[in-house]
Amino acid sequence: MNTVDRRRRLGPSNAIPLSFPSVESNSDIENTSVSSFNEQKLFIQLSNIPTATGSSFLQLGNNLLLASVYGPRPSFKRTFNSKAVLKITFHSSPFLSSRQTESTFNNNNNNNNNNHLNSDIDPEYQIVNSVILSTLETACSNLILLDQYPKSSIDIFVNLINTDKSTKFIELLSLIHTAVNLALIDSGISVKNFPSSIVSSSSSSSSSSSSSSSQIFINSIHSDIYDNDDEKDLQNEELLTFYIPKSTNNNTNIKSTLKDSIDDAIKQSRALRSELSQFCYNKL
Amino acid sequence: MSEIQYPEKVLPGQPILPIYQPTDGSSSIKYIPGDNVRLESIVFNNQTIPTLISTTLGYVQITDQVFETEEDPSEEVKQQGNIKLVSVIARKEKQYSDNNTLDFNCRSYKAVTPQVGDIVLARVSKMTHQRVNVEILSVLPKSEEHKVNVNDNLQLLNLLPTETGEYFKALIRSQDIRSTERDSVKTWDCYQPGDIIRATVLSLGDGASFYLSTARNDLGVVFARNEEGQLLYPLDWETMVDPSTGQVEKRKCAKPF
Repeated sequence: MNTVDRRRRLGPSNAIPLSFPSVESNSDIENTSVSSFNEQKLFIQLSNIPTATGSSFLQLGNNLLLASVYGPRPSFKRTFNSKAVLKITFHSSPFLSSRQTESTFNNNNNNNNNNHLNSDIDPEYQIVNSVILSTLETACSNLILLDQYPKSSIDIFVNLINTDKSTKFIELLSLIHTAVNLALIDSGISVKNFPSSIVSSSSSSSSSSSSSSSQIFINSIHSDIYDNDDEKDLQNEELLTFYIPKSTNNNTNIKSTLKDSIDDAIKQSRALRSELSQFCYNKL
Repeated sequence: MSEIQYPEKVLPGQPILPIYQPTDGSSSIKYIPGDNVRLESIVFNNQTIPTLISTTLGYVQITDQVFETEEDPSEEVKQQGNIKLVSVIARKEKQYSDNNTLDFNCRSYKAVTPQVGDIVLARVSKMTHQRVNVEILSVLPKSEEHKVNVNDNLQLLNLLPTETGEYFKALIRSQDIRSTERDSVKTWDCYQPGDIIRATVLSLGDGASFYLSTARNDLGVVFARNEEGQLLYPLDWETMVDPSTGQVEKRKCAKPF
């Protein structure tokens, strides 16, 4: 003992080291409560931050999201900007970040063990952040009429308060976009059209046979072209941004299914939009 | 005249009206975009129609366009309802009206960036011989621009965000202070730091500041105090007076009524 702990770093010689009881994993509970992502009820609250120009709070299952829009406020850059400058900040609660990486790693391991039963490998956390930010930036700069706000800056903050392991990253992505979209609508900042974002899993036969549901995320608005025919009108959709996760099985016919899945996604996006716009309309 | 049909409430991106609307008579009504409305050619069933489209969630408001005559800008001439201004009042702004629910004319401090031609309220912050530096406090709504003192309350409701003291900065060159004798303007005889002035936006200026002008009768000082902190009242367009002491100070006043 004397030779090992001469400086008494471990306390007195008769000290008993602390032992923590092992925490039972509550993964069972989570798994039982899993229902289909798209069938869960969405809770929306608008204008919950009084100091922000617009804000929205979203809850879907265990996913809690808060988006807020500030601006347009004067930007004090030396250079002249004829358009507004967009600043987007994504922040997830600190305890989530480690958990999410953990969960993705676990998923990966599970996937390997289960022989690619679930082929959706969530990207790692570093990539997650950059994907969220880049898709948000593309979507918002396409959506907002930035020309109307010269010499200004518009700040968008997204706060991911809670999420769970059963929610896939792509589903979270669409929730984040929905939150930002609603916050923008709430803010009264000029936008091109009413946006809606959706994750659609294509149900085409080719992908279902290989037991991989290839999911695609789109955020889209209606374009300036209208058609009386509903089927034809589906063509008149303007994609603000989209994201297709990297699939592990080398699907060679992914290009042919891409069009189908986008068409499918647009249909679902339209359905969601009509509900969201109805919600906003009634809020007025 | 047939009643025009337009939606009461609109969503962003929703078409409101085509810009031309034929009436029973020979003349047709022309609609022009106002606040939160943009003009876009939409294609409906392969037919291109120039249409006014809302850019925000809000209430539609259609007003007669008011034209100013060249000689006297304050004199309003109403066209016989042939040109109408379509604007959308955003959702938030309604709750800032005081008593009447239908009175949602004033924009709140939401989403306001000064545009060329807007009337703004600004506070003088710094002066030199060549220019007057100001901070833009508020952008007056388009419908209120022509009235100088509306019911004695200046439209300060749309005050720009002030939590960090971040105002749009602007400057008035000495040549733009008044419309006569532009070259011999003494800036200190027109404004003093702290004065609240009405001005119009000339241009977006450089990176740092907007360019404003007060070279019009209805533009100039609307609110000023003298060194003792007493409120000054305008005597004529070049002088203001402190009624308690009778002291006279020089200012370039806005036409009060």
